[in-house]
Amino acid sequence: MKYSVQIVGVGGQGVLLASMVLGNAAMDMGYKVAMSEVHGMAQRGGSVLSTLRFGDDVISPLEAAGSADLIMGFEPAETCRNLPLGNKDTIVLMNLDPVLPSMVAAGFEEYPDIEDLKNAVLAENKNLFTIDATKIAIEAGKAVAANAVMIGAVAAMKGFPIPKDVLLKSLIDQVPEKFRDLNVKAFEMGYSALA
Amino acid sequence: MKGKKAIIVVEELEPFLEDQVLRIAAQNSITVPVYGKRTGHLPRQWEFAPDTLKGIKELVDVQEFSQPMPKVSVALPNRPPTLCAGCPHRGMFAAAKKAAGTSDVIYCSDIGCYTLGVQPPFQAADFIICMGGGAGAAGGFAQSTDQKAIAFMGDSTFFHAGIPPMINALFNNHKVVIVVLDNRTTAMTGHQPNPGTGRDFGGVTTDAIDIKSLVQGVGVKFVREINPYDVKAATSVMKEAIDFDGLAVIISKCPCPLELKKQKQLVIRQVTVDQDKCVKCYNCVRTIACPALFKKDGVISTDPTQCIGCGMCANVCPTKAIEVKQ
Repeated sequence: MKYSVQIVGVGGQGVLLASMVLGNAAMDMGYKVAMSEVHGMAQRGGSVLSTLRFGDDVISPLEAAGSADLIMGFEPAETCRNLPLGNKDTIVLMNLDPVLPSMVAAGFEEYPDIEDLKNAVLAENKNLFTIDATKIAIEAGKAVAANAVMIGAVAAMKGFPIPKDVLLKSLIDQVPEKFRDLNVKAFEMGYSALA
Repeated sequence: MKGKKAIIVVEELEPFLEDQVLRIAAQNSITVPVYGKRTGHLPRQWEFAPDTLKGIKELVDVQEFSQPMPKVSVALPNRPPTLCAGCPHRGMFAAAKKAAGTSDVIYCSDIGCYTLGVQPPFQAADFIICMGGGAGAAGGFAQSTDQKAIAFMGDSTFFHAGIPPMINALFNNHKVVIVVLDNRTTAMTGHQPNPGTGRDFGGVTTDAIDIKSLVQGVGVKFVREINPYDVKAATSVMKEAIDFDGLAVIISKCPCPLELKKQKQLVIRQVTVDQDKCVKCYNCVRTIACPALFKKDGVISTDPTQCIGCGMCANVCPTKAIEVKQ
């Protein structure tokens, strides 16, 4: 068994925490785990990409283009931008709530229509699952918990090799105690949204 | 190496091991083909991923890779890294652009958060070299062109490699402006201390070195400290500096808000936009372009989750429509 997840998003969304949670859960399962991330400009509003590979025998921390089993997209435009990381059979999980780039926010550039982005993915891939992770997180208590919503949604993905309880335990271990309840709630809501 | 059919060297960056393998083969008269970057099978740039090995599939068995999905047809907005909300560098760049106006200037930059001044609306980096290289090249431009060279550097860069080019400009009477964006830390790489902050780690405690006294100490005649959050005042000082017949040094002094946040010293003020007073000139987004400012359906608003209440946008608002609650 070998499984590759490409986690894409924007700095501040919790992409790196999500990769730690998934990576630690994979280790709890006894898998070999390799991880690498591109986050040099994360704190300056740039894109973030984290690659997680786990399985019985994993060597490279990087994955070949097109070889992702799962693309976990924290942001719609970033999901679309990184589509070539997967192939037509890759499972694509996409948060539909955008994070506006600064030039869009300032009115210099347009953000595409979310429906257009959805259709752009569907044109290449029939395994698209969408979720309003940020809205769900706000409902759970705080927008920053969107990453927990996304991890909950991954737990509901068919064929994902790590069971829900292992993921949840790993999440609880990774977050500060005072945010535990919020994260558990967000995780469960993300799970129910796609289960 | 003896008795092998071929040797393939897979390494990132320069072909260091490959060249050594070639040398050893040559010195020991071993005739074995060596494949890698020198033979064009592998690239000299980028990180190596499993599919990089496609380059050697004629030599060894390489796994088959799935066909990647194509790029989407929808035009996606760019997401370049940007200066943070409330970053004092925004104020200094806005002031420099305003002061230079349409006059012919060369913006010299190098490596730090201020490199991000290359982005619109500032575009205040015509070239980017190594740390301190911008100020060094500014002297060359002053010598060989009639354009005014304005060099930006951070406080950490100033101490690391900015003092020799400053002294060089003084010695050769180069008419350049050096702007030290002193945010009291080494921000881009994660807030390391520098000589301007003093040291208090590893059992060693030292005092901070004052940039202004240092610059005055070497004999620079035009030295001004400004607060970049006061964009208007900074603009008039910048105008003076551009007109000055010699080396002018401006120290734009304001701590990095991210660092203040880490130290739990950041005071956040609330900002509101009075839509009745707003004349929709968009001076705020056009000159400061702070990520905490939003323009939606022609209406300007602030994002309270990002805004720190620094007041730069209020400072450039001609109708005082943006109010900072004290």
